[in-house]
Formats: sequence, C-alpha cells, structure tokens
Amino acid sequence: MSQLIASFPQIFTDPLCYVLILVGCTVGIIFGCIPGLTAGIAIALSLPLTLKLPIIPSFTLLLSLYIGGISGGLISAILIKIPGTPASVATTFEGGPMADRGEAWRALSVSIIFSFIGTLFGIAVLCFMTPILGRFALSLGMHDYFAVALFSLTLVSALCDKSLIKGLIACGIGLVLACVGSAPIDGYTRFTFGIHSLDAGFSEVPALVGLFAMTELLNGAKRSEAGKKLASFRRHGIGITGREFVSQLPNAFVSGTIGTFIGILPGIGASVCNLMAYGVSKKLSRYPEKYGTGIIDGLVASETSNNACIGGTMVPLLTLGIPGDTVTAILLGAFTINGLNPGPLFYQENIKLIYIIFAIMLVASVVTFLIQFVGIRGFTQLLRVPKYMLLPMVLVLCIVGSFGANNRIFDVWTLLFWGVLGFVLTKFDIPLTPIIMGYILGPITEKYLRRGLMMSRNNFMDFFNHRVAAIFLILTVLLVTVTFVTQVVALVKSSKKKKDA
Amino acid sequence: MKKLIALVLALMLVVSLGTCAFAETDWPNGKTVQMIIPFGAGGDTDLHCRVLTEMVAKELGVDIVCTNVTGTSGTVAARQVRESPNDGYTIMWQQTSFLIASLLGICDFDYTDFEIGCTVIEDMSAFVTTKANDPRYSNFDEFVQYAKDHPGELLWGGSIGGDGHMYALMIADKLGLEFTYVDLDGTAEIIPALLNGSVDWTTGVYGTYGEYVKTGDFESLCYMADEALDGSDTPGWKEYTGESFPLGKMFCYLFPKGTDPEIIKQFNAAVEKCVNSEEFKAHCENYFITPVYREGAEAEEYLANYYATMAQYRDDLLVK
Amino acid sequence: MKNRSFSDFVRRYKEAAFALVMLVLFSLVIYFTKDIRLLVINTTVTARFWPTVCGIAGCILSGILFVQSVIEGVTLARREESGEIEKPELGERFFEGDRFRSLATLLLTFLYIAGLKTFGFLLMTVLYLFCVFIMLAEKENRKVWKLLLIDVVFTILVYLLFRYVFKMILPLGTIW
Repeated sequence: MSQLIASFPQIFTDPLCYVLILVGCTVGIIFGCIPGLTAGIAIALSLPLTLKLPIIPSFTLLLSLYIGGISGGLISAILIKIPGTPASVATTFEGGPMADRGEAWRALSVSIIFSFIGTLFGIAVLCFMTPILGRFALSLGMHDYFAVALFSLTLVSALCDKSLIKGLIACGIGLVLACVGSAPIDGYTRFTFGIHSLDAGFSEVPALVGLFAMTELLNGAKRSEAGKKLASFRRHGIGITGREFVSQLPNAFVSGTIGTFIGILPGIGASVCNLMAYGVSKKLSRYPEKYGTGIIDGLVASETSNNACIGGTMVPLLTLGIPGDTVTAILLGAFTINGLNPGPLFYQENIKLIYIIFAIMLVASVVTFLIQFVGIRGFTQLLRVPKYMLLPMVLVLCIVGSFGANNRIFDVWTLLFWGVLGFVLTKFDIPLTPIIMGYILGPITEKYLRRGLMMSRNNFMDFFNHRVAAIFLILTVLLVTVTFVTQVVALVKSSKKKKDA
Repeated sequence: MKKLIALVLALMLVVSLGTCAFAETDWPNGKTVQMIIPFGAGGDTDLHCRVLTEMVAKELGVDIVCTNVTGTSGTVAARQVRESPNDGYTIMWQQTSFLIASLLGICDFDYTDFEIGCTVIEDMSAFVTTKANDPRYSNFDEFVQYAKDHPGELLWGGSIGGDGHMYALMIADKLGLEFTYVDLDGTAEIIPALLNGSVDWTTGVYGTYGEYVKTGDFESLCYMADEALDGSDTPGWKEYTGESFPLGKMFCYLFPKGTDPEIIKQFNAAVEKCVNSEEFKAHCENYFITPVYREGAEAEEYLANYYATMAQYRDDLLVK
Repeated sequence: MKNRSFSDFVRRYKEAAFALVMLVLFSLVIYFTKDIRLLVINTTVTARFWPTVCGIAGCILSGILFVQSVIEGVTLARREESGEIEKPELGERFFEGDRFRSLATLLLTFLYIAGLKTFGFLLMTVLYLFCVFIMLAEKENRKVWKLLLIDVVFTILVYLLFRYVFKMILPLGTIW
C-alpha cells in the first residue's frame, strides 16, 4: 500500500502525464461510445506515438485509453440502445428500457458509478492478489477454458425472455455464422463458398454493430417512431439512493469477481464477461422476471464486470508476461520495446514500475469517472436529437469505425449483412442477443474443446481430472437440467390450464 | 443561410481535394504509404515492422502508416495486398507463416504472386524448450533417447502450421523421432501448458522463453542456432548434428505484382541503409534476431530455397 | 376476399414457415461440412465436428418450433373462424407503410456502401444522410436547407476528426 502511495508522485511530477491521462481517457470514452470503434482500435492507433514515448508516459496513455474505452461503451448502450463496444452488450438490456421510461439520467449515473467501482475492484484485486492469481492462472489450461466457455454458452437461456426455443435457435444461428471462415487449428476455410473475403470470417465488431445499429435504423424507419425524439428524461442528480447502492453491493461483488476471473483467462475477455455476469445475476436474483424491464441490477452486473475485467487481464501480463487479448498484447509490446522482457521474475524485479502502473490505472479510472459524470448532462442532450437524424448519423459513425479497424470495405458489408439479418429475425420475434452470445462463444468453445482433446489424446473423461473444468462442467449440467425441468413444468402447467378452461 | 452553405461546401471541397490534389508523377511524392502488417498489434511481427518501417519512413521522408490486417496465418492481409493497386503506395510486411500457409493450400497463391522487395531479418533464436528438472531427461541426448524409446509419447505444443511447428517437424525428421503435436496459440497458452506439464516441449524463441530459462523454470536442451545463445554449454544444432539447422523465421517486404521496379529500388535503398544501421542492430540484439539484407535475384533465390526446404515437410504438417 | 384469406394464412403460419426455412438452412450446414478440408485428422473431433453439432442442434430446435407454431396456427385459425376471437384489421398498403421505408433505407445504405470506394466518403455521406433525413423526416420537419446544413457539417466534422485527429484512413474514392 505504501508503495502504491509512493508511486503517485512519479506520475504527478511529469506534466506530460497529466495531459496524456486527460487525452487518453477522453479519446478512450469517445472510441468506447461510438459503435464500431473499441478500446483496442484506439490503442492500436496510438502505437506510433506510444512506441516513441518513454515507458511511464507510454503506459499512462495506453492504460487511460483502455479504461476510458471500456467505460465509454455504456453511453451509447443506454442512450441509443446500441452497445458501443462488445463489452457493454448487456448494458442495453436494462439501459434501453430505462431510457425509454425517461430514466436515462439515472441509468447513466448508476452505470458510471458501478463501472468505476468495477475498475477499482479489478485494481484492488490486482494490487493485493496478483502473485496468488498469477499462480492460479498458471494452473489453468485448455480444459478449463473449454468448461468456462461451455458454461457461459448455457447462460444464454437467461437471455431468452419470451421463448426459450427461439432464443436457442438464435444462439444456433450465431454459432453457425461463427463457423464461417478459417477453422481453428486447421486453418482451412469453412463455409466460405469460394468468397475469399470471408476467409477470416465476419469481423466481430462490425457484426455486432450491424446487428444492433442497422436493425435499430431499419426499425426506426417506422413513421410512428422516426419523428419521435428518443425519450424525454428527468434529472436525477446522483440517480441512486444510499439504500439502493448498498443493496446492489453483493450483486456488484459477484459481477466484479466474474469479471476479474474471466479477465484472467486469456482469449475470453470483456465481451463475454458482461453477458455472463448479467446471466448469473439474473439466475441468482430473487426477482429474475424483472430483468429486461429496466432495473438497475442488470446495469450493475454488466458494468461492474466489464470494468473489473481490466484488472484481471493485467494479471497474466504482469506476472508471466503473457497477453490475454489485443490490448495486453500491445502493452506487452510496449514493455519489450523499452528493453523490459516480462517473464516469471518480472513482477518482483520491477515492483516499482508495477506499482506505478497500478497508480496510473487508479488515476485513469478516477479521471474517466469524473469526465463521464460531468458529461451526463451533455450526453443526455443526445436524446433531444430526433431519431430520423440521430440513427443515420450513428450508422455513418459505425461504418467509419468498421472500415477503419481493418481498412476493409468488406467489414462494412458485414455490417450491412448482419443488419439485414437482425431486421429479418426481429420480424419473427427472434431475440438478437443470443446470436451475439453464440457468435462470440462458439469459436472459443470449439477451439478449446479440440485443444483439450488433443492434449488428452482424445479422452474426453480427462476433462474431469482438471479441477476448474470439472466444477464448471458440473455447473453446466446442473444449469441445463434446471432449465429443462422448469420448461417442462411450465409446459405441463399451461396445458393443464387449457384443459381446465 | 445560403452563403453559409456555400462556404461549407467550399470548405468541404478544399479539404477533400487537398489530400489528393497532387498528380501521380514521382513516388512517394508526399503521399501516405500504407504498410500492411499481417499479424496483430503488439506481437513480434508487428514490432519489428513498426521499428524498421519508421526508420525507413524517416529515411525516405514520407509518411508510412502501419495497418494491422489480421487473420488466417497472414493470408488475409496477403490477399488484400494482392488485390491492391500496384502504385507503390501499398506494401506488405510478411514472414514465414504465410509461406507455410500457401504450402498447405490455405490460400491459393504464394510469395511469387508478389514483387519481392527485400528480405531483412532472420530469427534463429528458437530452441528446444522443456520444463526444468524433468526426471525423464536432463540434456538433449537423453531427450532424444527418451523420444526414440517412446515414439509419439512426448507432446509438442505450439501453433499448428506455424514456424515453430515447422522446426519441430525438422527436428523430428533429422533425428528420426516421433512426437505428438498439440495446437496452442501463442505464449499465453504455451507457457502455462509447459509449466503445468500439459505439454512436454516446444520450440520457443529466445527473446520470450529465454527469461524462463534464466529463472530456471524452463530448460534449454538444444539451440537451433549454430551455437548456444546464452554462452552456456547447451549444444547448438551445428554442434550436435554437424550441420546448420535448415532455416529460421524470415521477415520480408512484398509489393503487389507489377509494382514499378524503380519504386521498389528506391524503397529498398532506404531499407538497406536502415537494416545496416546501428540503431536497428541494437533493436535486433534485444530480440536475439539477425538483420540480414537481401534484394533482387539474391532475395528471390533465398526465398525459393527457403520455400523448397519447407516443401519437403508438407505431408508431415498433417496431424495424423 | 381471396386476398384476405391469403393474408390470414401468412399471419398464422409465417412462424412455421420461418422454422421450416431454418430447418433447411441448418440441414445445409450439416450437408456442407463434408466439404471442409482437414489438417488434424487423428481425432473424431475434427474441424467438421462442431459445425455438425451446431447444425444438428439447430435442426432439432427448428423442428420443435415448426411443430409448435403449426399447432398454434391451426388453433388460431379454428378459433378465429369460429368467431371466438376477432380477426385483426388488415395492415396498411405496402408503398405507404413502414415496411417500404425500411426497405428504402436499406437500399440507400446498400448504395452508400457500394459507392464508398469509388466516390469517396465525403460525397457519399453527404448524399446518403440527406436522402435518409428527407425520407424519414415527417412532412413538417422537412426543412431542406436546415437538414442539408446539419448533414454537411456533420460529415465534415467526422471526416476531420477521424482523418486528422485519429489518423484513420477513410475511403477517399478514386473519382476525386
């Protein structure tokens, strides 16, 4: 702790760092809230600059962008029901209905507070438990990743409101679409039918953005909707009472833990953990039927977990020098370019630098929080723009983002394709979120299943020899059974009612 | 109101024309050159390219923007560059994985479908990496003996179809051994798998895995370079077998087919100067790689040999 | 009256038709797994395994949905014909309705993306936004000059922000 405090002066003596934190958080929030642009893109774009900076300013910029970028997604998720990044998909479930009711101010405020708490949670875990968690991360392998991915996939049932069957079909569509492109491990393409633009599959962000933004635009074309301003809103001040805040703490704790845990696993990340935390929060809740109608529990789960994930992803990077995602890969690059080779001793040998990193994260999260909180008034002004102008403008931004990430016009076609798909499916009351869930989780599940089997020489029972894998597989079986039984009971009840009637 | 609109329209015209008003006469002519990096930001492919390309940009006095186009062993980027205009404003950085991908038929074209700029880096820093203090073997002799006595038992972990896989196949072939191959993606998966014993060995590069050898977590059994990189008495490949290891990882610049040779020449001249600079040498030392500049016929021959050497192992790449 | 009974049929059985289409699509997924080239062949769980599993699961689910929605459709038809519940009003005519506007928006977006590469970001965006604004705005909001101004200013701001502040490459177009 004293080391952490001692490292603050290191950032504050350098006026450059002030500027970088402010710029980093602001740009991060902008990239986060524009659908199609993500924290990862912001960081990749900053590379030419950061590779030239000395290590502390370079990390200041990178981490501010990262924290701002993950937080920023909540703004568009709430105000226009389009998640700004894959990390804030679950925020739309409650944020959207709340904004419709005129509670946008409250939703924003709650989300901003809890995304701040989530970041702090992650940093706290990072500060005090990194060595232990590092060892834990080492004990995990392909088998465990598979089990976690499979478990998350079964949580899809928590995201289907009206009809479980339709939700599962949606998930199946996502799973199949994720198979398009080069197969994991083999590398040969599948289901591309000779279209080479599909060789790498559909890019995740354009697909997500198309599904939500394009569908919203096409539905917004309704005469009854188009002229409407999105929703009027009431000002709420801080938006949450002390009692509400306290009652949300257990939920925040569970979600934060999920976020940090998922963050530690390389390759899964924030795009999964917000959905997972939302699902778990709903399953554990005493009033699951209220989820989706606009209650703050869902917001808390989603925003706490995706921000807590940041702390988690830093664990394997700092203890072992291994990156879990694009962002940490770039951070690792920033280490090595400065002549620091992260490895098993990195943590002990560079403890001073590591505490400076923690301090940077802490300051960046406070700055992000302040910028967003002060900005609420400005953000809500968006609601004054009529839909017929706002939605096309957002779509233009989405297209710029989708194109800019990879410089491929095909990614823009991806956006359109997924938009049309979403539009058609909503006509048949098919929910869209399970598609995204299947799309994100499918490839992970398949990859780790196959890798795990390769390691176990094709013996599936070996999955149960791994502790974490066994726990999650049993949880999966339990969840599936419970869901199945409740469905059957409901079916029997409803048919009885019909007969009685 | 109308005046305002006219003003805005004029402004728009100026902005859009300003960026492309110059006629195409002489390359690079102040225009932005796009450098396509076929792998993700932050990895070694990305870093080497960014460092070298920035020096080249300074040398040429142009703005070169590095863009990552990722997917499928670099073939997505390769296809994009292949279809790009050959005006010299799109250049690609490539490496071994793309050659292996075309060898496997993952894409239906190979490096000869591009104009070869120059090859610039060789990475011979791979070594046979195992967990330290394995009771089954403590040096390369014992490792080879164990593998001979237990064919197929030792698990190699790494990216199937990657350069490390190629080295492992070459080791197995040259020494008459048989291993089982497990797909793992990058250090994030390989390091924990080695440490917790899920796989037995990998072909790690010294820049990353060397740190673990220093701490005594991993052991280096044999270096693919001619002699040990860390000055220890661990054998190098040449010391062990009497001949140099067939190949290491290679990095090169490729242009779309039909790019003006003059442009390539101009670019190459700048690259040559940068590759041989002290600044780049220092970078290379940091990563245990060697700057080797080849252009023209020499580069073509080098790549042809390189490709042919790997082609011998095409059937072995199939995981049976 | 023929029209009426057709639209009733569509309304009652469109979900069943959807399920049927999904069933066919998922079956096609299973069928096309045969074309997948394999590199790893020492296991039953190859690159064909996962798509097959997804395909089979999808087929089963769409099958259930099909049966469900046919039963629902038949029940609905019986209850409506017997007068137990009232038939809903016929929808609006196609060319005046929301569906037309959705499709037109889609078409415009398609043209916008298709033109990006040739005509460049600035021109296409100005045109696209203007068309969509005009089409979606209600009559009393159709103030051409105001919309055009917002459109142009927005486009230029976005262009300047991305091109010069964030240094991203935008499609500039070959025509300019």
